[in-house]
Amino acid sequence: MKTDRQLDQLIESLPREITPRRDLWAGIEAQLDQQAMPAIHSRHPAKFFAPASRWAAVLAVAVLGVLWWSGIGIDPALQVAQPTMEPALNGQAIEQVPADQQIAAVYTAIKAELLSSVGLVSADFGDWQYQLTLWDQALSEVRDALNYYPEEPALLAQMEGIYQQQIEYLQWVGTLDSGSTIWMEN
Amino acid sequence: MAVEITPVIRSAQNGDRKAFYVLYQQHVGRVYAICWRLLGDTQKAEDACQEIFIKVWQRLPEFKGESSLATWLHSIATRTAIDVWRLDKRLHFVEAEEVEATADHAQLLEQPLDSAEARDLERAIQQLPAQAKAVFVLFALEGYQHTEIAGLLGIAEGSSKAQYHRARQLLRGLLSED
Repeated sequence: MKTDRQLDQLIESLPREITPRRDLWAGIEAQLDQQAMPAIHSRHPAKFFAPASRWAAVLAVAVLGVLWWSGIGIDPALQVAQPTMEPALNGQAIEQVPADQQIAAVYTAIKAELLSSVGLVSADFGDWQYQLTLWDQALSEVRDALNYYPEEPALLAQMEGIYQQQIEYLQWVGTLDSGSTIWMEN
Repeated sequence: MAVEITPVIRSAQNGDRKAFYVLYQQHVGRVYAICWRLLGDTQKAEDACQEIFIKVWQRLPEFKGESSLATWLHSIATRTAIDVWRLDKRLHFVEAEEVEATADHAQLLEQPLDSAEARDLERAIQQLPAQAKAVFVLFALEGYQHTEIAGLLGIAEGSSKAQYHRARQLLRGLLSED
């Protein structure tokens, strides 16, 4: 049996760094192409709109979630897009489809519906589609996390929250092209 | 204690990939070490290492120099490696033979270790039970305190100390067998 002192000496002799057997940079760099840096995003004016909607979205998602899963129903405004959910899931029984795919199918349909109703938005409003892209990137990260922790309730709630923010944002953007807002007066 | 943000870090924060590559080269050895020791598998360690550097790239703009970049980066590395380790532990029951095969991985033998005894220690660490191994690696090799380890692994501080003591006992026994 080794003594504690001998063990400590051995521990001290272990290298603090280990060189990977292959260069990992190529794989990292390839994935950087698909990533964007937060600092670049943060300079964009669209960020201004995110914080206010975030808290609203949390509340909305909580209410929506309760209604959704209890089977009572959802906002009638959102039900317009619901019929498109079944084709999106390729006819699979709903209980066989992972929850994240169910959420994605429903909200993607709602987003498509809202996007189709968005007309010409004043340039003064900024690049509103950029904000949507940021949320899409966030959704992608949540999906990655769900690959590690499938059906994790917190991640699913986060996913719904992001989708809900997009929906609310799109609903808001949809009101800006009516010609009666301050954005159109400039 | 605030530290200076070097031009290389500043460039990387602004999206300069060459600068980020310099940071990668500076830190990959230490990041990979914790991944490999925690996960005990080359492929998983490589995947985790890549995931860590992508996270670092994404979060680099948040680095304000409150600590050294090495400390900041290592914190991300440790947390990510533990997440992967925790998932791996949950999904994968490791058979004894597999542990032995992993510990005997050629890469381990290629490392420039000072002595055969040091190599035996690396191999013995990989034979420890999962939690004892994680605590040992974090405390003895990565320099974390038991309070920090308890937070990282979601266990009580006392459990961390007990697991470390157990790990040492097992290692002493394993090394004597060799």
